Formats: sequence, C-alpha cells, structure tokens
Amino acid sequence: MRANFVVSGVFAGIRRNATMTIALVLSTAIALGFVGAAILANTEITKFRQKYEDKINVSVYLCAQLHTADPNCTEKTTPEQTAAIKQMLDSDPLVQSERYVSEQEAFQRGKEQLAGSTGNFLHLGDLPASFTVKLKDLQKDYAAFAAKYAKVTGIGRVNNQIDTINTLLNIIDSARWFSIIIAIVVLVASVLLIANTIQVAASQRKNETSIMRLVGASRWMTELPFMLEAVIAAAIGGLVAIGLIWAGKHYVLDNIFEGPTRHGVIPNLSINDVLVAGGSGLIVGIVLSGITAFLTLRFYVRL
Amino acid sequence: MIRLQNVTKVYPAGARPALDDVTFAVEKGEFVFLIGQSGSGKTTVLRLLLREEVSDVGLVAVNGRSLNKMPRRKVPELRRKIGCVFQDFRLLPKKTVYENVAFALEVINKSPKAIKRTVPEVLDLVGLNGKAQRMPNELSGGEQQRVAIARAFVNRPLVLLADEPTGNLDPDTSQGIMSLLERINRTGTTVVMATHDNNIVDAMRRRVIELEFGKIIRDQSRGVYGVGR
Repeated sequence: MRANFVVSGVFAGIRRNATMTIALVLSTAIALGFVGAAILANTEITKFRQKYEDKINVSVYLCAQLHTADPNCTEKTTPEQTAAIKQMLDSDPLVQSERYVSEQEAFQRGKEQLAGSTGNFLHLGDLPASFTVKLKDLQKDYAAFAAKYAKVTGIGRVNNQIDTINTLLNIIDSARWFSIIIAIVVLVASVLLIANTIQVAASQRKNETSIMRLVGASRWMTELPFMLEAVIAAAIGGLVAIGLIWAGKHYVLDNIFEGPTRHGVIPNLSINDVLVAGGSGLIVGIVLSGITAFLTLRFYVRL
Repeated sequence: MIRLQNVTKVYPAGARPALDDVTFAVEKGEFVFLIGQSGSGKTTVLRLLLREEVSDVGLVAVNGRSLNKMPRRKVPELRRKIGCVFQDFRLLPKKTVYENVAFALEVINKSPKAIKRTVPEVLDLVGLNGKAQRMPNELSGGEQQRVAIARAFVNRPLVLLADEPTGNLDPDTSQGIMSLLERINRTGTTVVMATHDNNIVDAMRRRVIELEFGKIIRDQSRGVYGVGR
C-alpha cells in the first residue's frame, strides 16, 4: 500500500473535517484524562496501602481507672492479668511481635500530642496501658484477632489504626470511581462522535470512494484513511490528556496536598506515574477509536 | 469474455424483474451496444458485470470466472480487469486531469514509476496530453469524458463498460468519443456500451443487443438502432 497516498488522504480528510476533528480531539482528551485520573487514583491507593500496611499496628487497650464504666472494664487491669495477656499474645500464631506501652508512657505521649493547655487536664491513669501488636497478616487476621481478644478479661478494646487510613483510602477510592464513571460517559460520547465523524467524512468523500471501488481498490485501501483519521484524532486527544493529567497533578493536587506529601504522610505521585496513567489512556484511546472506526465502516457505511 | 446464462434479477421494490431470463455471450475483443428504453435493464446488466449486484437466478461470468458466488474480497481483483465510463463522467473536481487518471492506479498500489510512465501514455491516447494539469471544470464535456475514459483504460482492462457515455454530449463530440472507444476496442479490449443514441449505433454497425422490460428482444451482429424490431 502506498503510504504517501494514504497519508495525504488522511490529512486531506482531517483538513476537510477540521471542526469535527477538533471536537473529537477534545472529547477524547477529556475522556482519556478521566481514564488517566482513574488509573492515577488506583496507583495512589496502591502506594498508600504499601506505605502504611506494614506500619499499621493493632492496639490492645487494657482497662484504666477511668474505664470502669465500660462493661469490659469493671475494674482496672491487674498486673497478673497484664502478664497473662502478654503471654497469650506471645504464644499467638497470628502475632508477629508485641510491645507493652505502660500508663506512664501513654500519659507522656498524650501530653506531647495535646501540647499546650489542653495537656494540663490530662492526668496519669487517664489513658490506659496497652499492647502495640504487629500481626503477621493484618488484612486477613485482624477480624479474628479483634474478636478473640475483645472478650479477654482486662482488655478494654482492640483498635486498628487502619480504620483511620481506610477513611482516607475511601476518599481516594470515591475519586477513582467518580473518574471511572465520568470516563465511561465521555468515552461513550467519544465513540458516538467517532462514528458520526466517519459517517460524515464517508458521505463527503462518496464520489472518491465510489471511484476507488470501481477501479478495484481493496476494502482496506478504501477504509484505511477513515480509520487512520479517527485513530490520529484519538492519539492527539490522548497526548492532550497526558498534559491535562500532568497539569491537574502539578497545579491542583500538589497545591492542595503540598504539606502532607512533603512530610510523607501521603505518598507522592511521580512524573513516571503520570506518564504510565496517561500512556495507558492513550493506548485505550487508540484501540477504542480503531475498533469504533472499523465497526462503523463495516456496519454503518457502505463504501 | 462475458457470459450471461438465463439471468433473472428482481430488485426488492420492483414490480417486475429488471432482467428476465437473459442469455448472451460476448467474445474477447467484441464491441457490443446494449440498447433499449429507460428501465429496460441495460444498466442492470452493467451492474451485474461489475458485481455491484448479484443475479437472483442464472450465471454471470467474466473472463471465465463466475461472479455469482465470488467472495467480496475477490471483487476488487475483478474490477481491476473492468474499466467503467458513465454519462456524468464522475471526475474528482479537486484533482487535475493527470491526478484523476493517476488516482485509479494509486489506489491499486501501482508504483510511482509505473504511474509516471503510464498516465502520459494514456492521456496521449485520448488526446489530452497538453491538458494534464487542467482542472475538470476547465474542460469541455467531451474532454471530461476523455479523462474518464483515460481513467477507465489506464490499467489496461480486459473489458470496458460504458453507460451512456455520450448522453451529455453534442453529436460532434459524441463522434469523437466513439472514435476513441473504437481505438480502445482495436487494442483487443472488449467494449460493452449501453446507449440511447441511435445515430451512433446506426453509424458504427456493430453488434446490437436490444432489451425491453428486462428481456432480450434482439441480438443482431452489425445491427442498427431501430431496424429489425
């Protein structure tokens, strides 16, 4: 197939349909931008989990004096009970390691966290002693662990810090689902726009394609320029989308989460992550536009 | 070269068959006029030969190959052996004379070298060598039809189908087009021409197949338009 001939046909077609091609580029850019955003949100969730999962510990709180109203804590945990709990933890196959945090230590930490005058209201004994437990598999074993230890005499409650992190993860996950839904809606619009653009282009070039058919041009030769037009528009849209994703990260996310990312609370997304997300969007765009163009030409346009 | 055997074609909306049990054969190098009133089935014959349509009953064959069961992917190959000329020329208005003719070769993947060699030759044959860079709207009707003939003949087809090629032309210009078709026929190309033009048919004295309501009512060698009916 003569590449020059096909390429010149493609660019003539794009010029002739300039406004529709621009609309196609823009809608594809927005759709693929959201595809990229969804991928990026996914990357962030994965990074977040990786960052925190090995650091997340379970706290097994004992009963302090203040907790006697708690049905689990009718009285303060005795040293014997504490020793029994420690032994139970040490022999538990789910547990990787444990560390005892005394009331004194809890009080010190509490005072540091509630710096200033609020800390003055805190007294030794207000905060219970606890065991900081590291489980071998937090995700899998936490529920069983919590259920088992919550019933043990001398234990007030079992707490898992992943709950706090899950709230953050849920926010990111919602953003991901939002991106996915918007991406699907705009992708559907883009697919319809591609189909329409091809139908309009085909009717504009009916004279040319009918001659091509009459002189014996193969079906591919007749259809390829239309398919390439759609694929090129989608590819340009995909490149614009990479720019949009980068701009969104650089100007919006980086500004909003500047502090937490600088302190390492929220894992930072690298330019590499942006390129992977945008590049995946680009591939989705190219494949989808190629398939749409192919199907439109086969089923809706008689060339 | 061409064979139709008991061919019947009915269009979905048609009350009667467009072609009704039509049988004829055309030998290699023959020049045949298809005549008959509008709606008699002339164009349907040409469309069947181009495999734009498929007969409902009977056999249609070109160059020894049956078109009835020809798969779609083989149709382009068939059409490269058949040239086509129409009453309305069907030139591409934004391409020059040269580009219009070259287009027919470009889309079937001929090499640029072959195109550069063949197009001037065929433009010379149709008498348009000096007008290669003109646009179609700068040409007379006769000249436009010559470009269309050049495009149909540039790939040296075995068969040239012409559907009312002189329908939009005055008698003198028509005469010129007929001379050109005759020259092409002398190169061994089979020519099948559908026409209403009695002067041309009478002047050429070639084989005439006359159709009426989809049936052949006359098949006469060295025939004329109105005699023998």
